[in-house]
Amino acid sequence: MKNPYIPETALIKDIRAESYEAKTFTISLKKKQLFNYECGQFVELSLFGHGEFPASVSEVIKPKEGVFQITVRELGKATRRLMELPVNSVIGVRGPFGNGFPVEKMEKRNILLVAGGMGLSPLKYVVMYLLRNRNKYGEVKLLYGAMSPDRLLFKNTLSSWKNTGERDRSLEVLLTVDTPDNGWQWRVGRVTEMIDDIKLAPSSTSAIICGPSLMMKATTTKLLDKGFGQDQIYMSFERRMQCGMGMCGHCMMGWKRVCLEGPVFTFKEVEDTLERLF
Amino acid sequence: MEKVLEKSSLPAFFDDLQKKARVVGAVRKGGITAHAYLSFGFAEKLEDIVLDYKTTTVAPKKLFIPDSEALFSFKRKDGDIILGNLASKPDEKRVLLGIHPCDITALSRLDKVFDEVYRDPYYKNKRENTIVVGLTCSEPAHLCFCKSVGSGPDLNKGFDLLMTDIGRSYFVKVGSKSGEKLTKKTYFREATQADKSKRIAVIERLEQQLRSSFSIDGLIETMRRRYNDKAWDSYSNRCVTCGICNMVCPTCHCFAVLDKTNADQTEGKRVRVWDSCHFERFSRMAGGLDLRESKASRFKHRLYDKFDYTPARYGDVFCVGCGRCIKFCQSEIDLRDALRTLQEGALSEKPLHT
Repeated sequence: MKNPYIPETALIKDIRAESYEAKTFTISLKKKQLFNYECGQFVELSLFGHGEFPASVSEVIKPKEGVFQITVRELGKATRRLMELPVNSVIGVRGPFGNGFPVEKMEKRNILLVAGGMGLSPLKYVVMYLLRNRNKYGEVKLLYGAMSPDRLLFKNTLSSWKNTGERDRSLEVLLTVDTPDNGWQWRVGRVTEMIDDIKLAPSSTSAIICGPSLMMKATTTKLLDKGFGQDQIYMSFERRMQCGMGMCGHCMMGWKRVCLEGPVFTFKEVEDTLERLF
Repeated sequence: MEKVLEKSSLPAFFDDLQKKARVVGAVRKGGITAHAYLSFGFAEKLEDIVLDYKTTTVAPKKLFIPDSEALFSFKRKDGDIILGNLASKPDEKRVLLGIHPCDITALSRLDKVFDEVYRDPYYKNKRENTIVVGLTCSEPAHLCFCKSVGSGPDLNKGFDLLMTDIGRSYFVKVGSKSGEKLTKKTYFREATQADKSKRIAVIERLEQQLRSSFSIDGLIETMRRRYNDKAWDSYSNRCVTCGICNMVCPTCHCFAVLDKTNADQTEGKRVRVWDSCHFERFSRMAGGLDLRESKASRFKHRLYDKFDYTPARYGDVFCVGCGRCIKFCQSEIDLRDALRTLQEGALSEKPLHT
């Protein structure tokens, strides 16, 4: 019987500082096997002796050889250990788990991505997917907000996303921070305020949201006000996924388990949840 | 298929079971003290097993999900990590002798959790290597309400054999092929019409003795409507979040995953241990956000899980009416009272998500 609790061992191939607190780790499975990842799924990373934590994948470098990237910051015991590790350290990988964003179902539609802080990490791969399949989608806009400029993720790549392809096929990126620094040229304020700044066609747009709990709540409320369909607001939820397989009970959100039925839900799927969502 | 086993042949039956597998039954623990209790454990001889018990303290789930269980081992060697699969060997064969219908039902419920999208090798291994020889109760305990949740006093599936005390003998219902094999022995005889009538009389008597008026008819609708009802407060306020209801519950299966290592962290094991949704950090995420921060929300979560969430997912109520959580609750919270108050109480709702 297959033992789904045993991770695949993997090597940290590269470590890059992404913001003042976050790092991007390039991870390579030791058995060079297929890493069958879909936008929005998550993996469980093992720091042997320090535990396991769920993380989203920010980029898949070589899917057939199992090379991918995660972007995380220190938040608990296992991520603290990860931050200390040098290149070529051995870690464990289980997954990918969960459902992911149904990007194929969104074809021909406009896409509005709204990210807050570390929430851009799982959305980066979505952006890359959309850019690779750019002709299948209408207008693509990314609204991204963080507390301060030094907390923005993927600062270098953000500018390159904008310039991909022809003008009408490009990606519109809007940035905002709560606390600007001297050189800051973008907006100051909350990410939800940017929704008022842009032109939207709510009936033909799908929204993809990931960020801190209250940011997702505010964004959802705003988008519903603007006339977005409940089934066209996709959110990636965070919960305490421990087993990733629907057994340990930690990630329940009402009757839904974020690890199995999620982590991506439309607002329609969760609006009747009895307990607190955000 | 229906058979009869004379009580005088019980020792022979026990011996034959023991030749096949280790026998597990309700055994006395805690010595001859005031703290003595019944729990499922290994029996060396028939006398070790208590057959006319009412309920055990700990449910038989501990035989399939131990309170602490290693999932795999890891060892550092020359900068690499060597992993050891601890689920590679099949588990020892076991016979569960004298398990009651409510606990059998609980195992059938757990089967769905541990073999849904993913298959848990530890649970399945133990489950597949266990023969269930059930026993209907001789008398219900005062907190039993299996009849209200459809898990007793009689049962049609989930067992290999199901025995019923009909006086000088046991009536034996056969529930599977491996159960049928066990009844090939000469001390089993075919059940007669008289035996069948005796069994029906026993079940009817049990049904009369199970007096709880608790009913789950329309309960899901009521619970959905009254999640924010103030009626919950008088129960959730009394809860001390000790988690004993989770520990003794035959269907509570939540576990925490953690790493245990030696002092210099060169080797260790990843372990899962029982966890309780009443504990404060149960749903707390990295960074500290806990969406079930209030005690009331955790109290409700357990009951909604049993009576609303699991029926939505699996089609079955996950409460089997064993009464353990009521018996061991130090705040004397009776879930039937709480739910009945909700069913009967006046509406006093607050809107969702505030």
